[in-house]
Amino acid sequence: MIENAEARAAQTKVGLLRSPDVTLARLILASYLRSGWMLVEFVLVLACFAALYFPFLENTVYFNGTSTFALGAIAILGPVIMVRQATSARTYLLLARLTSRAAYSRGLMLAAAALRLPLYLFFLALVLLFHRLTDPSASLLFWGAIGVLANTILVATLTVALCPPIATRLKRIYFLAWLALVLFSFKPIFAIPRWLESVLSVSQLPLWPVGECYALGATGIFSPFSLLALLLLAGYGVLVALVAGSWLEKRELLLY
Amino acid sequence: MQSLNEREAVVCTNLTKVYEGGTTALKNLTLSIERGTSFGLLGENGAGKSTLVRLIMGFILPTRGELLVLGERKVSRAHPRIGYLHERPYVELRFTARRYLEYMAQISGLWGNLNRRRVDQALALVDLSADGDEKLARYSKGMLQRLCIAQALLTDPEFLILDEPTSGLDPYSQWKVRQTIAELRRLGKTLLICSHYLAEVEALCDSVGILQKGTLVRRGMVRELVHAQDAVEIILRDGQGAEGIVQDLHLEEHILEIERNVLRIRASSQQHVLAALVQAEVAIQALHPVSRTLEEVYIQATRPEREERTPVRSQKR
Repeated sequence: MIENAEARAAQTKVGLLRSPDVTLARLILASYLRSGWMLVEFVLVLACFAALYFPFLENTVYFNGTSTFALGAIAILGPVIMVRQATSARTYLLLARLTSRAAYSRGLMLAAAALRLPLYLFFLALVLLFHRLTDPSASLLFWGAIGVLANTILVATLTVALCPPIATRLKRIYFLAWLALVLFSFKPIFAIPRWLESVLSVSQLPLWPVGECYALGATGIFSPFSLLALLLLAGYGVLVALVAGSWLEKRELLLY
Repeated sequence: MQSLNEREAVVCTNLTKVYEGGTTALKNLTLSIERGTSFGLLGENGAGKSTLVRLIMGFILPTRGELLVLGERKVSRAHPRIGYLHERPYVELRFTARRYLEYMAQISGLWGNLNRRRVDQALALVDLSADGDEKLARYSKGMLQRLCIAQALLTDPEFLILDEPTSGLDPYSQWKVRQTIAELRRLGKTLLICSHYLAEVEALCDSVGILQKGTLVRRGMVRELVHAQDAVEIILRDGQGAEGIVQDLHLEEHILEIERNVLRIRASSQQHVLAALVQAEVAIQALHPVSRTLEEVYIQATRPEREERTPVRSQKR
């Protein structure tokens, strides 16, 4: 009884770093590291570096631009593997300790998001150590890093949210349909009336902060719009976490 | 006076679960498990045991009906007070036992000294203290199963759900796990044990429920079920041929079994047969109800048409 009271007292004292979400993220990352899959992500970064910078020398803007795409692609592949690896019958034992399944989805998102930083730093270290930049500027690299990380973190969290068992197949189809619509509205592959083009362009609006952060990354020039975009991206992250949590709460979990 | 919610750990009322494919796993199940007791859930593969456990744990949602776990309608709210053992010992094999348990305890909000103390206690309870720093990949299946019981005990829960706790283990590991469960029972925990091993359930549970095709076909206290007086055994004094006496007194229709000087009769015929024997001045050495094993109760409950419904095993007439 005394121990239980002690446990309750300890639970009330726990801060953000001791929340189930963060603990789960640590457990997921530790498991991902020990499985070897984390190493695969670093190897992919290495492959991107080799493909983009040998034998070429490039400028910082090029680095910021290409790292958004390279790390963005890895931010899709990595979290898919991470979620698949972390979600099995083992997950039942974790869920059995949580009062809300949303903590599990948040843990996955935190783990996927947190890994983007060392991957970016690894990419940057490779470029700097091998002197592949013609104009290494601290300011350009700093604002570039903010833009790249903001976008890749959003991609990683969104990927986690769309993975099974969080999202249903139907939800993934809806999302991909919207993405296809956005791409089509950017560059229609067949002729459509002008009014329809205007209507379709509305679908691009949610991507404005992503574009703005890409611009921040590519140019390294910080503006009030960049701040707004960063705030909006943070908002997207919170929204994605909330939506994913509510999706997972409603799912039938038959894990093997 | 305690309310129903305070007395019962689990209350299912007309609980029905139909899976997406249309399979009905549970049909109008009404069941309650009293706190501080040990309840055994029996049934064949596909009877609905795992479905019921998943519903109680909130991993799946009921199609119809009502479920209360430790007084909570949203069952995940009861999770901090539940210890759960999955039917297979799935754990993070890349960790040591201690590291894994530390993580599990941290997820439950146990940190610092309390975390270490609880991990040590849990390892000691399942007799794994000496192997705590071994990688789980090196553990035997029995050790993994005991580790899983340890993780279920970390928060000192009041209700433990043990799904197939000894499935696939060697005899020694089975014995160890049973010892642990018996200890938990002595500590007054509420236990829900799903098992195929009937002798195990008979030894470890106060009451049982037998599921068949999603329906509860039998429910009761183990003691009462195995001692249910369906039959009575009459032992005649030595030297008296029971078969001849039965023929002489025309008692054939009341007899289940004859074995030398022993008569086994239906409990409902007891008065009639005894009266006939006394009238014929047949010396009776002893009379007692016939006990059945839980296995016999189970077979009766699940195979009423196909199997003989008598509690006796030899020389049926």
